[in-house]
Amino acid sequence: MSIERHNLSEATVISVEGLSFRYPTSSETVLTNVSFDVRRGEIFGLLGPSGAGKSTLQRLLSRQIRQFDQGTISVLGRDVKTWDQSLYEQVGIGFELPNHYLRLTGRENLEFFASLYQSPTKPPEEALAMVNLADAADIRVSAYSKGMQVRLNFARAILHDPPLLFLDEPTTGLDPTTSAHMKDLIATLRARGKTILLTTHNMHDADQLCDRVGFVANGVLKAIDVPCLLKEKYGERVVEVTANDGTVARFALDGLSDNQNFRAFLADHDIRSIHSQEASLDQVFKIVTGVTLGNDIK
Amino acid sequence: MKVTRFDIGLQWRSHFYTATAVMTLMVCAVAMLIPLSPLPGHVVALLLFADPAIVGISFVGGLVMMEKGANTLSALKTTPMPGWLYVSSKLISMTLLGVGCGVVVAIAATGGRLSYVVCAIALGLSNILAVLLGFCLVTRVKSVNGFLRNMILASMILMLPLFSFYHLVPAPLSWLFNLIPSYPMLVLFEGAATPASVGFSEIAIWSVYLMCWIGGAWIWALREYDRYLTSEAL
Repeated sequence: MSIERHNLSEATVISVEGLSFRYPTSSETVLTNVSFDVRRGEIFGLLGPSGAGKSTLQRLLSRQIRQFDQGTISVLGRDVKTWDQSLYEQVGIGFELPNHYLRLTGRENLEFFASLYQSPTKPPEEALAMVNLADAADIRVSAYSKGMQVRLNFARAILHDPPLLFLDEPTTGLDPTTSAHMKDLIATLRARGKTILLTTHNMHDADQLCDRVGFVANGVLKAIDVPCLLKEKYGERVVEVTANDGTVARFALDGLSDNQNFRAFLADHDIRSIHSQEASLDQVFKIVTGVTLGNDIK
Repeated sequence: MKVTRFDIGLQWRSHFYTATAVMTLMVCAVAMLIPLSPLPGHVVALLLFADPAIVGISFVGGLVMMEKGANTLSALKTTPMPGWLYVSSKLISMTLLGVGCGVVVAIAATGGRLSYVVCAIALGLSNILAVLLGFCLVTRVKSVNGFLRNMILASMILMLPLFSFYHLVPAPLSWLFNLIPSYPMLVLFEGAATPASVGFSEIAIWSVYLMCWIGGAWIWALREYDRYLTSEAL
């Protein structure tokens, strides 16, 4: 499905070529020779552990960091260095950490930010309702939980209905129900033609949401592909059958329906489970990068 | 205007107006307790000088530190709002507050017998410059302690013209001190309180001199906003 959609809309929204970066106050290189494209209407996930460089990369792409020495970045058809603040009429940014006016209500926060755009904006009530905060619209943000503030971040990012969204760890710190709601929202935005670049260390979310993912480790973009293709490529094409008596047998996935041994095993045993052995995205990440996602790089 | 209105609302919620009112009442009380009537112009000048020094410099610093603390600047920097709008919003809202407070002090200190035109010029120019300087002092610091350190240093420099204003230092040194922009503020405040003591040409020259400082401080403030209130620096 994802691949078909890509073929239908090939316009490039973000293009990065040979990007290297280190902070002016540090001698350590954060990103090394990064190149990739993000196509219109796709969700592109930058995956990696904390400290891998993915948030820095997102900040460079979204012009939050403006100085870099090597490489080129093009966003919405223009070199990012030639954009001014008007870029943000077309770009929405969802920050990982809450950054609101705590003494104001959720509605007042959105009203203020809406006033900064020339392009039409959603009514704050609508944006708040989208993230299930309608009931808390008139409560001061200082009384919001972290999850509510993260949702308010998201509401602010989509307030001006931008065609391009940068979302930094959009489900971090959310309970499972809210996390699922946010993922539904992100999928809905994609269905409406929005391009979304998200960073996450949550491979499950990436697997569910992203059309393509890029693995970032130690500042290097190690691989880019469609999640299911990565899992197929690095997994085993076998099924593992476990019987109730504990017997385990493995059979090649190709030609399984004609495999007489497989049929005989099913006939001779009470079966407890049958699992294909495709790799999880976590496993693929570890194979490709040599880094385990649970271990933050620093 | 929307941004300025928002800033005023935020300052109200953050009790800046309450703090200003308390401070103004305290300065008025000091003015009324001084056993001189009418108060000499150079004393009124000192009382009025406290207004931009406190409201202008420290309050804008507090406001920006508050935004830094809540990390809202990172959100503002990713909106179409240009830097000049952010700076001018702080400038207008804080100047209005400072001028309002200064007018109350001026009336309390002089019993309303003052040159309102010169007073308006003096308060306006002084508060504008003080807010811009306060903004520049806060952009690079990462903590309240850092801001306090900058403020103390700046205050010490801005206090130096008091020595020349009250003729406490000899001529060559006083000329140097007079170049510091707090000196023209003091002269204009004295001119507002006792119009006969300061001539029109002196008021005009020092007003233009303050405007030059304001022009420089405006450019400096915009550069500071662009360079130091950024994603890398925050």
